[in-house]
Amino acid sequence: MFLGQTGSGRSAAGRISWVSDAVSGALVPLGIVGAWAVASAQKGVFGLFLATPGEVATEFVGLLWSGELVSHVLASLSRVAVGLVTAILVGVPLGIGMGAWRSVDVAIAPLLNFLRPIPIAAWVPLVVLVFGIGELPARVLVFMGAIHPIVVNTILGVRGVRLLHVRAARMLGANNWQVVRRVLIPSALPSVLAGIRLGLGIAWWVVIVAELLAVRSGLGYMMVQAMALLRSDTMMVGIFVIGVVGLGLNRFAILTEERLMPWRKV
Amino acid sequence: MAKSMRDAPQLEVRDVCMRFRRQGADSDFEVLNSISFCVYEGERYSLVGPSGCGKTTLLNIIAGFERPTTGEVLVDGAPVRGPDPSRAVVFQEDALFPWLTALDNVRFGPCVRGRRESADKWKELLKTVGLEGFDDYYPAQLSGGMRQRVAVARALANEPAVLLMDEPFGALDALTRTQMHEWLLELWRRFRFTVVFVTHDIDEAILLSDRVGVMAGAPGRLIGEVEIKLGEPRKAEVTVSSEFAELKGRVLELLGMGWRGVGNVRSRS
Repeated sequence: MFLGQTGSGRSAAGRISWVSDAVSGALVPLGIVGAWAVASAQKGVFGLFLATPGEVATEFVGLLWSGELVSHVLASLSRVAVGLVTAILVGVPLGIGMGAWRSVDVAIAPLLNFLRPIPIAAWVPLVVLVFGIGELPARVLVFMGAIHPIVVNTILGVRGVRLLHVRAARMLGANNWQVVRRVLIPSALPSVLAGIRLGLGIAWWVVIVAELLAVRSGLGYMMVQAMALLRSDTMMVGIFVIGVVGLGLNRFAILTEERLMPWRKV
Repeated sequence: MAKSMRDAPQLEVRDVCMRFRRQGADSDFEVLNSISFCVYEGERYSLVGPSGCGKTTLLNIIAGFERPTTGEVLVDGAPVRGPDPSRAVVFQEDALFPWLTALDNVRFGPCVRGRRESADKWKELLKTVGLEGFDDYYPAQLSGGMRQRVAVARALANEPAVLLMDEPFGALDALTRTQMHEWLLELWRRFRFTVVFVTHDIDEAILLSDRVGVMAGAPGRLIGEVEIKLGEPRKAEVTVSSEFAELKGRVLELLGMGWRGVGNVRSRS
């Protein structure tokens, strides 16, 4: 067995190794929870400000029961949805233009290359100043974060189209538009969807940052409020939920990709 | 099968030259030098020659993917201006669309041309090429030989005037290639398509053709033609016959690799 190789057989042995992998994977998190339980039970600063695992669990149930947690998650998700969809609507055509025509690439690439390394957090004060506090600045920030991987991957996808496939479509009678629709787009699709998945990850990351300052709802806002009230239990519920929703979003993106590209699964 | 019976050629290559401008050099790089030949309806014509002799460039010119520097190609008397369904190509590499199933690959041509025909017709065509029941398979699920069968079916779906094949079996193992030869011969007996077949494999060229055009490189030019008169129905075992060896000897002579003395044979052909 090579390092890093995991059992994936359909046999009984495969199933046993799946179970043992799950157990191994749970060991480290359980250890951390144990250390946390010990630290939060101390008398000093830790004990004062760090909620115990039990308190966090209670807070989680309370927030879930009151509906507050769900409404914050939905508020954050709706901003991700609007920002990401806008980023797709702008980023994919932009990427196709930049990938297909040199003049478009030359005109736009320098600007994007300059903007890309600037952390979205650096934009937050300015965006809030310009757009005020509310939905709009949060959506703008999500859009700004998500558009970069979408554009870059669309360019790669368009440039990766094989001349052979274009020629095959041509000799079979396809016109320009049919070459775009039936060859260019499906060829570029894997790369574009990978870019959208990266963009989704960044959008989820950005929306929390945006909500710390720019808007008065959502998981990020819930946590700033908790900080003002010294409620570490609420903050830790927030962190946990952000992680779980982030995992869920990635899973959703992968399932969508498999659905849209059945030929990639075989 | 005398030429006089079929007056006008289906495909005519007329004095085709191809030169590329060389970076930093005064002279152009000559890829093809004055190539002329004709192929008649229902005829199987092979172009055989060493690697780099311009066979694929010539086929790309016939297909309309590239423009010759001078000269022209005529199909049924009309000059070639670009790629067109009248000339279907089976490529060297696997050129099926990986995002389409075998069936959708086959009907791609008729579909983009606005022909609405039932799926049954194309299932029948897949059956004809020996792929019954593989309609919903993606190319990645098929073997190399099966993929080339789909590629041929895709090319035939448009009912082209000429089928162009660019070393279609080059990437297959020797046994699969022999099976594909038998399969192509049988398919030809059924459809009688006009075909131009490019290869560097002399045996393949002779076995699959009615006429073999022999090419030499640097610059690429046609140095002779050999008429292949072997019995029908043609089978792969003909490759071990003495007539076959005789024909192969003539091709080798043209290529300057003959064993009967190189000096005086050229004049014979």
